[in-house]
Amino acid sequence: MNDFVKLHPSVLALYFLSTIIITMFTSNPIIICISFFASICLYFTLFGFLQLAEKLKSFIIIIFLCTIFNPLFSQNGQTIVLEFSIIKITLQSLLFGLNFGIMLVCSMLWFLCLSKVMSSEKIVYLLGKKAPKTALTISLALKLVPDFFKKFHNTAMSQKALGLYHQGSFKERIKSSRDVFLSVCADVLESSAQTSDSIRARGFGINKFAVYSRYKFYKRDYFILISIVLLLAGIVLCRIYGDIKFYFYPNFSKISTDIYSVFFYLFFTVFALLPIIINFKEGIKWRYLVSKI
Amino acid sequence: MEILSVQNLSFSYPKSKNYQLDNISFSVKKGNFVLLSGISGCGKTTLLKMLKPALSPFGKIQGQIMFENYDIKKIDENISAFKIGFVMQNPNEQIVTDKVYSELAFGLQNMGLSNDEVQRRICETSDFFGISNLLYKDISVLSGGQKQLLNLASIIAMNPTLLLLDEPTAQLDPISSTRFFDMLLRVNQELGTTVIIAEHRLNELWSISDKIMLMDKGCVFLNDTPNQVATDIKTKFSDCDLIKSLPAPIQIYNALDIKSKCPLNTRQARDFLSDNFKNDIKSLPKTGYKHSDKIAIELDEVFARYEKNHPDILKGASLKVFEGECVCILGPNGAGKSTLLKTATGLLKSYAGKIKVFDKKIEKYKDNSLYEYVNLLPQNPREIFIHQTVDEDLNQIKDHKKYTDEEFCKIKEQACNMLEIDSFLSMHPFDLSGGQIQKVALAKLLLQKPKILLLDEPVKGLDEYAKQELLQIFKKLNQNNITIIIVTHDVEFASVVANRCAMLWDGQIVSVDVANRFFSNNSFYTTNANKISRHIFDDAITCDDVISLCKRNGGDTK
Repeated sequence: MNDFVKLHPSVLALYFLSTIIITMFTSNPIIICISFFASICLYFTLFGFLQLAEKLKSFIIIIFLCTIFNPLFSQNGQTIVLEFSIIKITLQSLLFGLNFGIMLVCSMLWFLCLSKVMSSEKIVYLLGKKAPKTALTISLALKLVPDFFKKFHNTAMSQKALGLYHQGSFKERIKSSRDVFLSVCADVLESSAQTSDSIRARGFGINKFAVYSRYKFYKRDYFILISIVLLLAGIVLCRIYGDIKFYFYPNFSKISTDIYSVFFYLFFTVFALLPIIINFKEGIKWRYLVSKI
Repeated sequence: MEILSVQNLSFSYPKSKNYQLDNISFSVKKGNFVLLSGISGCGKTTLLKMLKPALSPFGKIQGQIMFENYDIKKIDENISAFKIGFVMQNPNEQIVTDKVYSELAFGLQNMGLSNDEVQRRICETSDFFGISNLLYKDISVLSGGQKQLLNLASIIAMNPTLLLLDEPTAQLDPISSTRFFDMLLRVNQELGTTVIIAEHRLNELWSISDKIMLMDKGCVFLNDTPNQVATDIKTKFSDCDLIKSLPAPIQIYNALDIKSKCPLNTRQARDFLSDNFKNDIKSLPKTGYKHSDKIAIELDEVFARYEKNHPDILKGASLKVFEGECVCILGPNGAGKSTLLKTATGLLKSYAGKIKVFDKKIEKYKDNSLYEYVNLLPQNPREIFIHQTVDEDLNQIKDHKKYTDEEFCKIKEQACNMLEIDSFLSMHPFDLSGGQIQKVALAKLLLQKPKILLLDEPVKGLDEYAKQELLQIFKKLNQNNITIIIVTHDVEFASVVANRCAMLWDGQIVSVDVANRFFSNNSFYTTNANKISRHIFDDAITCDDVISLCKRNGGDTK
């Protein structure tokens, strides 16, 4: 059902990059709220309700902490809410903290969605076009690093079964961990000699390392790509001509309702909700096709 | 049409006076399936590596190797890399990428093929090997057998004309090996790829090979058709060290005095026995098996799993092992044999059921005192060693158990003598061969004076000679009242080492019996000798059993 993830990796990369940059570099609370709402929706479709609820629990704490700690750093602002001897807590600084917290959490959500959508193969593919050898190195690392941890765990367990691991004083425990680590390093070096033999035996380096890509650029990808580019153009134009810069100190800016600002918010809403719109559209199309059977 | 011609090949490593390969000459016809065998250290691996230029070791080389009538040293890199394929022993170490399809694509990318061509070959090869459903999976979730098939597939995708394999099934269980050999035979027959395979598992390959080459100390002493080699062994080499590693039919033929053609596979061997021997005496006289009354280790309806929401691995497994006996646990891959051993040593907590060592529950053993009674030798014996030399590792035990210098010297000497490892003491553990490292690992365990030894696949990948050595050691340990539990796939080894055998299936122990009865009652999990003779003899388990029953029944034909 999640057709958004099936788009071409370049399109996905462009989308996420733009969204994250816009979110991180704006202080306009309306933009932040739209982005927050959109990222929650996307996270929900990718990970499900339970995971979302779990994450939100910790995120709410982060937002809360940002809100209450900001006044300690910034004492500007007109409307004073509380006053201790040296610290005055103003409404503006509280709300700035709130805005910052939500922006932080929102960026984290976008990054989490990015890591789920852009699997290791897609990243390797993106690199593969320009630097196939780097892509190979990453693939190799993705294989060797988990292998190392697995070996370490196995060796530690075997030593434990002899009663030789994590025994006695703290110093001895550190020593046993260190010994196991060094031994596993030696083992990994030896087996990587075999891997390099295997690489050489299959003729690496004789010819230019060809690019292999699983992903094709379909018409659907062109269509979405053009939509993204147009929306981005609209956003940038409205940003230049509209009045959307938002200040918290000394008092809140007025939210202007001139045509450029309105379109700015509109374009950004569509842009942020693009993944949801794509999935929704595909969902409707699917139901329609099924209902015709 | 010769694809390979080797003339007077000799090789020695730098700074070594011994010849690894000593004046070897042979030729291989295109499309042939050649089986290469010999005890460990005879030079099989070196010979194979000499045939693959990218992997040839450095040293003094004399003689000539011609590949498709060109000197192998002078052929183009493209040809030597892509026309000659090499599959190594360890499935994990050969793999380069993290996903199945990218592993298949790797060799093709090296060839510089276009995207479409790479796509097409991946599609063809994965279908031929039956791994299409695995294409987008992570390689880390594949089993050993699947990984080795993947290695074979990624080499065949490059369309080599000559395929070299160095003990490819050493790390695999019997079922995965059979599947691998089936695939290899299909590659040879349908694709016409010439195959040269070095192996210890000769049973399945002997009758299907076109040529068999046997090596000893760097020389090829026999190189002929399977039939001729079997006959030559009987007439000229009937005492050679290699006999015990040969397939059961040939061992039996070798020891008997029948003037007919040598049977090469199980079916021919069955006919050979029916045609030449009566079965008046159906079984050998047996002494009953008596175990001690004391229970060394007992599992009572043990349930275990690795993580809370994962399925159970052990589902109510129960087993009693008596002091001083040797019990083998057999079963298919993934049945939970290693899990059973881990649970018995407390590395994995069982969430239901009781485990008692010498009548005391293992939870009651405080402070790692359980490891004074029970020790585990893992599947990968390298995990026992964490120092630079074997000696240092053994000395680690002295501090750990707080022995006095005198005590420790005595125990160490005893262990070294029994296991014959004095010459390995100054070596780095990782420099030792398979059989050597098993013995040295055992030594480290024995220094702790455990009462119960748990061994996880101790004979995996070993040649027959090393297995015999270990067999004698285990028998000696049993005599000293040390209880041994061995988890293994190797039915042949279990049949000679075990007092009793148990079958683990679907997380439970489904049958336990005295070794003899255990194997006689099974149709699949039994030795080759049993499969050959079960239609006329009742409980012949080893080749020696069959030979001795044949001799008792006289050599008269029916």
